[in-house]
Amino acid sequence: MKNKFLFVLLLLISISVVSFCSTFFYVKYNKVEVVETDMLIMTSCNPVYLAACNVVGDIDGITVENLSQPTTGCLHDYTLTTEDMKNLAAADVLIVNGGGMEGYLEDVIAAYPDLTIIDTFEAVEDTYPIIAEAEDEEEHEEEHVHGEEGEEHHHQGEFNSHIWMSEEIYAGQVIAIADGLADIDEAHATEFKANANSFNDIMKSHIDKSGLDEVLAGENVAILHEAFAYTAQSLGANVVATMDLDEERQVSAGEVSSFIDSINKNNVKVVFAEYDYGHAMGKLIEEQTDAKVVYLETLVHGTYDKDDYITVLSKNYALIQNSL
Amino acid sequence: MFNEMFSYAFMVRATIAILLISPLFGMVGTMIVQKRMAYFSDALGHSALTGIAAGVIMGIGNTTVSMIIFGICFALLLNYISRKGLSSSDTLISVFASCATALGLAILSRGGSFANYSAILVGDILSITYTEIIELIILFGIILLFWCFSINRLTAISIHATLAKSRSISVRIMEDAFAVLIALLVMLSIKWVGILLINALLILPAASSRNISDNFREYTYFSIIFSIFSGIVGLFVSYFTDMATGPMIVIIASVIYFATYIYGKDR
Repeated sequence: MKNKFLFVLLLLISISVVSFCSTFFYVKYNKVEVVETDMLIMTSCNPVYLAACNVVGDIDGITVENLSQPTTGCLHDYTLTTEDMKNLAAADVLIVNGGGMEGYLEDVIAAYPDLTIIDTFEAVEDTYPIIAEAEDEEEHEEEHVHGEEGEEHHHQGEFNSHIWMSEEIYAGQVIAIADGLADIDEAHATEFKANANSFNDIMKSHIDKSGLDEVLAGENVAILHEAFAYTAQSLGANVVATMDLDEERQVSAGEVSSFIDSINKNNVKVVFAEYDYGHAMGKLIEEQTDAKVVYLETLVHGTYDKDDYITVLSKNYALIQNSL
Repeated sequence: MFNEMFSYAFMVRATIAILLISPLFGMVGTMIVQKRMAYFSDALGHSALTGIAAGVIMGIGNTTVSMIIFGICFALLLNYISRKGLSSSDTLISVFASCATALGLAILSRGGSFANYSAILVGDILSITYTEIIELIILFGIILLFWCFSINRLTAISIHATLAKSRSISVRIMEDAFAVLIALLVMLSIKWVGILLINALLILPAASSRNISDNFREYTYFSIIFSIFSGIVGLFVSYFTDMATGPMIVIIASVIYFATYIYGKDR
């Protein structure tokens, strides 16, 4: 009888010691130096992080950090880690893409009611051409835009929130971030706005479309990821078929056949896809149709280089150009 | 180290939540293991998806309510059909669980929107709020009361249902009440623990305790101790290593299970 209690005691002590020691060494060898900062800006995803970095520029005492990002999958289903929660507790402001992209946002608002949140989607939705979220194949063919013709306000989530993929809307997000930060830190308001305008000018001059917007203007395209609806919009192309693929999406046979029919019927020459989740379907589409599938990046993951946005978008356009 | 950990409000809330949920899992788990209901609680966990889907269809803003209602109906229906004895209970539970999961997935994944609900698969105890902690305190009180008044009857039924009947214990009512209790516990904690892991937290501490216990009192106490210990150590490790809390708790509970299994086998 006594042995049993001794065994339990020893077992629990051993597990505690092993857990404590392994955690101690893990922390020791993975410790990130904490930078002293006057203002900590947290961002929810890579595109917003890049925009915030460019708006802040070289201003001393302001640090921009991104929430730790999933290495696979999309942002919708990301859950916050302990590191994120620690960073948010210390943050002065959280900048989000918005539009339902950050599923955890409600939890953050509940946990940190005093944290200032800059929602870039909210800031641009009435002034820029936001694309309606596709419900099914029939509706894809009639995708309409919001904002251009002063439509009435709709609830978030009904719109495609991958707005950063359009450089026009992204420029609006950059301005929204500068305005939001200027309200919080009035001392640097002029610098934020100047940096935002300067970055938008650089974007305009450096993103190389190589005449694609003329080649694809009015042409029909199909997409295997909702984010590329904005790529198509930037190039003036019509999206005639959408199949949004991610790790949790199981497509039905009817959906695939209807997608292929749309491609054939509308004489689609190019399909925009994301490699990880669209590769298998892309091969099938190339087998069944005359369309070329081109694999583009969605900017959800990146190297955190300030010029990433310009580099990746230019690369995407070059890939489309090469496929034609 | 600990000062830093508890300087964050979210960690204080998560610790309180673990201290509330884990003893309940340890306690209720003993009876689930004793009555061989592991598959039943697993099925209930999976049916949470259908509960959410029902809430979405009916336009219920708070899907916890629809999950609880669906969970209770699901548990009572399972008990009712199992009593009819038309098929073996594991087959019935499997059929019901698969059907409920498929229905939930089909509805929630319509238009590719399952991603909005996928967080419930792994749970997120770090984002628990004080209002939700109050819900857990109420649940804690309900289960504790039920346990104090019904543990002897439930034990009698788990040993021999006919014998329990002969002692004027209403087997049907007790079984239904216990099923409702499991449904409440599973549905109210699933958001924090996750569908994939909730059954592990219910079963592992009780199963570990069973490996080394000689009587029901030891069985219950050890189970509660193992459950609280796994919860606290799992939370501590996950905080410093930046890994998900639920899986870390299950890993610790699994280590305890294997250790007690080896010890119990050699006794």
